[in-house]
Amino acid sequence: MIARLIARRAINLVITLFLISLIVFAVTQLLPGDVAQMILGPYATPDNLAVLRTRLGLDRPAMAQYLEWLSGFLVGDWGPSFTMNRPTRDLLLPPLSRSLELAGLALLGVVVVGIPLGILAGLKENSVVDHLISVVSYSGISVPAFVAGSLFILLFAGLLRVLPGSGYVPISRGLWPWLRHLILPAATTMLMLLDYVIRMTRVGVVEVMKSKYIRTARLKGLPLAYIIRRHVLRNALLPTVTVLAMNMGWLVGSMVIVEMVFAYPGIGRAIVSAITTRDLPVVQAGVLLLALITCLSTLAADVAYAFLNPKIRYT
Amino acid sequence: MSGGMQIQETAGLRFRQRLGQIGAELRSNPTFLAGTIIVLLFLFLAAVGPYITPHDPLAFDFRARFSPPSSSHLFGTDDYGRDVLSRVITGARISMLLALYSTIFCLLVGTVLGLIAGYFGGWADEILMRLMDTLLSIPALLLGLLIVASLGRGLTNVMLAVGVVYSPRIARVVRGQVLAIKEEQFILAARSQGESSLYIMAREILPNVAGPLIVEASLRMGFAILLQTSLSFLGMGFSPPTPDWGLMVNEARYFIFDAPWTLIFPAIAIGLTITGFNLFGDGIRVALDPTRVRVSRGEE
Amino acid sequence: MARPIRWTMLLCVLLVGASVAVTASELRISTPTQPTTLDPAFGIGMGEYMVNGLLYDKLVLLNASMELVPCIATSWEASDTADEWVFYLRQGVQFTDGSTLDAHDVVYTFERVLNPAVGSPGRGTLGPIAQVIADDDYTVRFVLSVPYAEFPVHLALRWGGIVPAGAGESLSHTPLGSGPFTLKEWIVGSHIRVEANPNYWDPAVPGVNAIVVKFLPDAIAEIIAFETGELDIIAEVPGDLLTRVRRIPGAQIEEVASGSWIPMIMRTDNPPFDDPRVRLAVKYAIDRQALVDIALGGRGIPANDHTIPPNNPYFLDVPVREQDYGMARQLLEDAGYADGFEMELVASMDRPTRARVALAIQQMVAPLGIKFNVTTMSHDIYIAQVYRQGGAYIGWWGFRPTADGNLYPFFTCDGSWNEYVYCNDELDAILDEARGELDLERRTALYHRAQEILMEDGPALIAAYTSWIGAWHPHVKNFAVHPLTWFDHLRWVTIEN
Repeated sequence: MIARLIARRAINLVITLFLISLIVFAVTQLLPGDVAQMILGPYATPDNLAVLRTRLGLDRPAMAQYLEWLSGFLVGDWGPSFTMNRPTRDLLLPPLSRSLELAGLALLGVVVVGIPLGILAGLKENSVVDHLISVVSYSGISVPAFVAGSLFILLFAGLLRVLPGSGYVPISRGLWPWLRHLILPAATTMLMLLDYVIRMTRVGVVEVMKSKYIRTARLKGLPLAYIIRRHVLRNALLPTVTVLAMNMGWLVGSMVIVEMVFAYPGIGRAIVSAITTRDLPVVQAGVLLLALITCLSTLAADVAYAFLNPKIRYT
Repeated sequence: MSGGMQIQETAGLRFRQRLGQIGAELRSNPTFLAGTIIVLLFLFLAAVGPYITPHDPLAFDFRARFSPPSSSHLFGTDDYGRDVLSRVITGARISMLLALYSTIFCLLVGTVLGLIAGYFGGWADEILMRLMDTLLSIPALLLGLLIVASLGRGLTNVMLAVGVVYSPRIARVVRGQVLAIKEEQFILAARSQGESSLYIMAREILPNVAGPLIVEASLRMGFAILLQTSLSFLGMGFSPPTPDWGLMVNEARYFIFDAPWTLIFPAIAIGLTITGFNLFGDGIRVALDPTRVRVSRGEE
Repeated sequence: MARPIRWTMLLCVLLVGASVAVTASELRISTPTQPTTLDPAFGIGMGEYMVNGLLYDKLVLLNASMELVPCIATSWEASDTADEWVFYLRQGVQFTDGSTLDAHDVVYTFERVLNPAVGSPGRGTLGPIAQVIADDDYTVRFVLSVPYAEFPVHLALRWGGIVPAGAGESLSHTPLGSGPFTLKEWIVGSHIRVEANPNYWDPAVPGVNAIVVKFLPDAIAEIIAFETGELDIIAEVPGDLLTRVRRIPGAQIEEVASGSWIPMIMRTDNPPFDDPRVRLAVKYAIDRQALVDIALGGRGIPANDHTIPPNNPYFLDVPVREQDYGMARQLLEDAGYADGFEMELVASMDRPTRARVALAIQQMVAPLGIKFNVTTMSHDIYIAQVYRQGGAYIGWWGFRPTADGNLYPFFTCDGSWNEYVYCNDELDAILDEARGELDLERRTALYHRAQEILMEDGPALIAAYTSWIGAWHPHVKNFAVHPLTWFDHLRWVTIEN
């Protein structure tokens, strides 16, 4: 059953990726502006432009360019970047790993902050605390990341001057320098997920607390703290954490604006700047890569769900 | 023939009864009421905006650059001496229109595709769903950026971009609903009566999909504003000097230290409208199906 | 309870230890545009200027006082007719891979930039070079196609960075020069870190152990990083943020009154600007000081419709043209535009200043019945659809080191950047003559005449030169704002604790 599900999903995945490659290639062909002129800028002379166009293969028909690009992508040769004079892979894979660093830290923060708040809200259902938590987490999804991020920069970097408002330092240059640069962007990313996690945890806790065996345990006189640790946490957390981990793909794709606001060298920013500089190979491979990650994590989430809850049927 | 009429009447009656219940439920829901007030306020601003702005939102006044909020400029002025209040009010029309247009676009496209996929199933479903999966697997903001970058900026193109980004989500909701009721008695009955597929979809299925669709649409309005302002913030929505909120926030970042009012007021407007639509949609959702709880991620 | 506390302490120790381990003499500077290549034959942005200036040497350098100083060339001389120049090279200079730098590397470097097949954007900028010859291992001779008195200055341009003979495309990501620094870390989208070259020929250079060039496209982020001490120098402070920088305790600020010129291009092959009287009328309609105040926030100086700034020795020192609507109306009437005209004026959005200049001009010409519809667009679309095509648009050019470089390519009939399609035989003749004129006084007279022609007849409305503003913390020594926004002088900067 699960093997069939995976096989079916794998076929769908291949079809989806093929369609994405078509769509992305078509869209990049539509981008206005002459790539060669964009790269060389106002200094360019006509013969410079011609040389560059030939070198980039822009003078060939679109179909030939597409086929060559696709076959290259499949074997891991993503071709050279138009503007950066290096392989596209080198411009996408390191930023991807930096985006994963940021996403990982944000997920960690969400778990550390969101789950206790969710448990609290669930235990005190419909109390003032519950409503307060709800209002705060609500603002998290109602305030766009670019507004929240800008305000964080102003507050923590501009006024208090305690954290850097932009940039990235590799962990090889020290744990603290690395972490300092990640805190504000990770906090902004957290806001996008916090409401989700708090609500999921809250629902789980409310359900478990109402269940027969918890009522029995309470009747038996077991202390509340013990019940929470032994029963509530375990039953309420599993789905939350599983789903969270599987959201990694979505999260990496949604961090684009956070990376822009904080000048964080992640994959989203790499793709956006490639769009503005008309670095088509980077745009094409980058979008395809993000889509692949999204699809894979969705697939993983579905499989995990099927394991956790065999009643779910997939059509 | 008469049997078909009978069933249809019953379905209609049920629907009307439910409406009464839902109305009562909504009136007593503070979340929904708060959302409605906010949404109505901004709709009002969008409608009458140009007639009530105290100043011309585009007029420069170089002698009044960066005036702090005062009685003549309630929200202060920006770097060109333009009245921030007038610009925020004018911006309401842009954002509301855009949210409205793109949501209508999503509703039309998404509903049609979802109905077809769910009702016919088979190859039609397969093809449409693969296409939807494809669009869904590209991060929303990136897809929007790509579309605006290739079509150019401006109201129509941003509307189109937001519409394309969110249509697959509507299509999925509709398809799910259709699958859930496809095998119900009244549909099977209508089918056995020899009613055309178009008739069944329009008269039998659509009314039953309407509830979740309204919820989805009101939430999409909020997301549409989120996506649109984010695009503008990245310089990919509207061209200056359009008084678009996202663009205003972006431009104001330069002056935040000296003139924080240039950033704060458009930022509040963005947050408030999105909150309004979210509360509004949530209220309807709870009224339609009190057992379902909202679980959604930001910027979906 | 004891265990968590101990762990916390250990963590604190680790964190503190890590933050102290930063190199003592490390200079941090930022650029809005990141380098796309570290091959000195390529690159057009500030990022490449900055980093290549650290990794490569040139024959000569132009310091922040605009003086030529020796680098790889220890001395140079011209033939009597100024059409042959000989440069004597420093001996014992090594590239960072240990190989020796000699005349053949210099010849290779320039032949490479001049080779059309290489496609270097610097090809048209190095002066009228006909041939580069290695007379011996340490003597290089440049044969020019026309006499040119200011030729050595061109060798200080960014494209003159010397690379080893045979070097090619790999330079773009693995640079190999003889400069005072070597590349240590390059994180695309984040920063480049270079460290001192221990074998550099001048033991006094560089002044610091390492330089980190951060890529911060967002001016706000840049200012905040400067405030919080994450940056030592801001290379370009936008005028809008100057008040904030002024409030930073100890911040050193320098304003050089000639960063760039912002022309309104009046294309001469179509009405209405094919008539010089219309162009002159527009020039008379502008209140230049007001434009500086409004559009540049006071960060600039009024200009007289030509491209020689006041700090250039050939500058024609006459009063700035006053706004005169009477004269402007008369000129328009003579040209047959008594009721004015309407046309589109395009400004790219790469910097807010362009749109402000357009809007200020729009307001100032309005009383003449001239209606400019200001259109703004993203820079990519502007480059594709308006640059060198539009009838009226706002340009943006950085100054070049020589009078010839600021005039010849832009205003001669066949000039490579003549976006005005302007052609004035008298001007062409004057500029050709000035190139070969070795007598300073006569050359100055010729350039003065060229400026007069541009003021009266020229196709550009140049109402203002922008200021170039830099800021740095007081512990940074020996830094100054370079009038051409070059960064070779970073090699002499030191840090004091």
